[in-house]
Amino acid sequence: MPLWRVIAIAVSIGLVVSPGPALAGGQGRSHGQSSHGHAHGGLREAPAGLPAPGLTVEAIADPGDGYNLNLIVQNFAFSPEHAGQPTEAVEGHAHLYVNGAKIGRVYGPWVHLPDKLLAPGENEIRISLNDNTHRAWSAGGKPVEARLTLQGLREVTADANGETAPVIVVDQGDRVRLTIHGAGTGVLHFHGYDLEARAVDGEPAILKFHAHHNGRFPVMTHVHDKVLGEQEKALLFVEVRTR
Amino acid sequence: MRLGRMPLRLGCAAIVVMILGAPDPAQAHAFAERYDLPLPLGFYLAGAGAAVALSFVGSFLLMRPGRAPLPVFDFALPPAIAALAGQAIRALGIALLAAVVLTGLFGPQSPTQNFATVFIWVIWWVGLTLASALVIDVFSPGNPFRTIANWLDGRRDGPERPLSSAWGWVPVAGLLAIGWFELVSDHSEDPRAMVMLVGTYSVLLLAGAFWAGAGTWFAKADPLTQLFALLGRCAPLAVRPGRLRLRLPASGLVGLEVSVPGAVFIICLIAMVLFDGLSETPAWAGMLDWVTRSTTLRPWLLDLRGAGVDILKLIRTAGLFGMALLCVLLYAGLIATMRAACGRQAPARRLFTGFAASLLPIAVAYHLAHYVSYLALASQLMLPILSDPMGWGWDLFGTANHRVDIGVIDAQSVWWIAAMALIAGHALSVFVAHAEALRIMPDQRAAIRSQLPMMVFMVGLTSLSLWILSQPIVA
Repeated sequence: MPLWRVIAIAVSIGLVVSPGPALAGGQGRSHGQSSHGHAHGGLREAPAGLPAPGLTVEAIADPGDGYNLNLIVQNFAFSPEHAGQPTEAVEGHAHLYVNGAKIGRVYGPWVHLPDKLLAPGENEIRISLNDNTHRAWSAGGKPVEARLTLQGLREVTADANGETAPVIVVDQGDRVRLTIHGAGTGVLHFHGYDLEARAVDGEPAILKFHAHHNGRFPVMTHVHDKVLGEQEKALLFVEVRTR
Repeated sequence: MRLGRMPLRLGCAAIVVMILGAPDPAQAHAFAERYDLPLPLGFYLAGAGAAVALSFVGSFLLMRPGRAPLPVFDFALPPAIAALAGQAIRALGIALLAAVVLTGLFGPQSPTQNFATVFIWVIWWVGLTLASALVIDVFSPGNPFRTIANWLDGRRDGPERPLSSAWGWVPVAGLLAIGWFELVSDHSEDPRAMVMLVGTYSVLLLAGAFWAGAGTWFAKADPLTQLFALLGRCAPLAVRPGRLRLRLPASGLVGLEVSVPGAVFIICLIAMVLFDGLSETPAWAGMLDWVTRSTTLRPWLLDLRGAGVDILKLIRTAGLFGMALLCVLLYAGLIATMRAACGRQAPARRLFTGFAASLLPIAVAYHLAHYVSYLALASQLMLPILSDPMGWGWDLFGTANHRVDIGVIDAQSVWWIAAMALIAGHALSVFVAHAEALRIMPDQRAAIRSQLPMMVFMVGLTSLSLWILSQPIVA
């Protein structure tokens, strides 16, 4: 099974939002962020005689950390070699915003978005195409940009020290960071998802996984019981529930 | 006082250790693990409600004497094709047996990477038993042990030896032994131990067949022949000499004549299936906890453990055989109630042997519900094994690196399959029981009255099955 999985596909090809008084709440908020993002110098309209530039973004969950974003551009070229120089061509770079805050420039079709930049729950991601002097490209008066919503890590904590194994409930599709306290020292096996975590006494063990599949999966460890002997014991259960 | 009790305890321990063997570090049961989400309450209640409703509807619809005989369609097979298919399936049986022995002895010894363990427990014991009950019994015509025994039979002189009915208890013991290996012992996860088991079974079976004659011995004393013949009777398709028969599901159970040990065999089969599910519930885990912490039992258990007994296996052994005994007693109680309800108009023995098979469809349905997702996941272990059966780094089919995809079946599908299977299984059990009642009882009135306790019992069995499925798996 490939661990990679396309979990979100960007919505907008080119222009979605235009400033205007009739916008609904969510879009109005985006508009506010846009004007913040265009601090370098407003919009630059693409030449009318040429095909309009466009942008689509696909997000692929990274098996280790966060997402990899694929910026698919039309009628546009990345031009890091011309940074800061005004040119005539429809070229430049992209700006990446997470929840309205600018993260940085993107000079190519792939960029990694690590989990530390994402808040828990839903995150609004906006990517705009800009010219070499940071003016945002527009076509037909609308900025050339893509928006998508990405899930941050769901932080879950479990205490494995209790009398019975706790049941951790997450939703199918969540990307989970599970912190397990009181697991003693040893290797923990997360069955089904087939992951391992090392526990050291006094420190929590961490399991990070993308809950693609529903089911009830044990996190097992080896324990020694006076009566039963060496046992594989469930420290906790992770129930991935259907949405 | 303590000292005085010691020899007795150690004496018990010595006996038990011979059966249960030394404790192994328990890797066990990761191989047989299931990841099902518990059946939601709605499915559970709807399933139980449907069972009650079907029981009533069944009583009204099915209690008409002189109904038309059950529809059966026979398709004649051209003799050449029938012979060829028979030879092909026998050759396949022998080839699979050879593959089990070779890979079990010389293949990779991890249970999830060995053909013998995955084939025996996943493909054959779960998959082929279900296929035999739901589609067609292909084990009986392809049984490799029978093929070998028939070949040996050709070299045997003298007539078949008649066997007394007491030999009917041999398959019961054999079935319980298989259940013990599957549900209690770790040997089921050791490929070489599985080859030893298959070898021991073959030697006993072939010796018996040579002594009594293959036909008699397989019919009377072989647990597998009896098991697959029973499951095959539930199936809508059946092989008849030169013909393929199509019939209503489970209708093959109507009119099935079994002996008293034969009825006990069926009840033990149901008990094994139920124990498998029950031993994964929180209720069982709580019982285990209570036993190991009980101040009365703990010194005994520690002594036994000191003498080398694996306590968990001991408790599971007691649970498995206790469950079998409990189910037989409950069934005997049901038969006594039924006999009283119909005014003692039929001999108890006739009732005891007549109604056991009617419970099979519920057990098959529960078995399907219990194992459907396991089968979908664990059967994928076969993909890398088939590409590299000996662990020599081959990649015959390009699947050597396949990892189990736990996404092939999701929780909702499993819930629907489970609930639908149990409702259908219950309906078929009601149908078979009513047909049997009309066959056995002298009149319609007695038949109707006999089915009252039976319906209560069947609703109980279906509800218990649904309850087990609605419990979170903790083991």
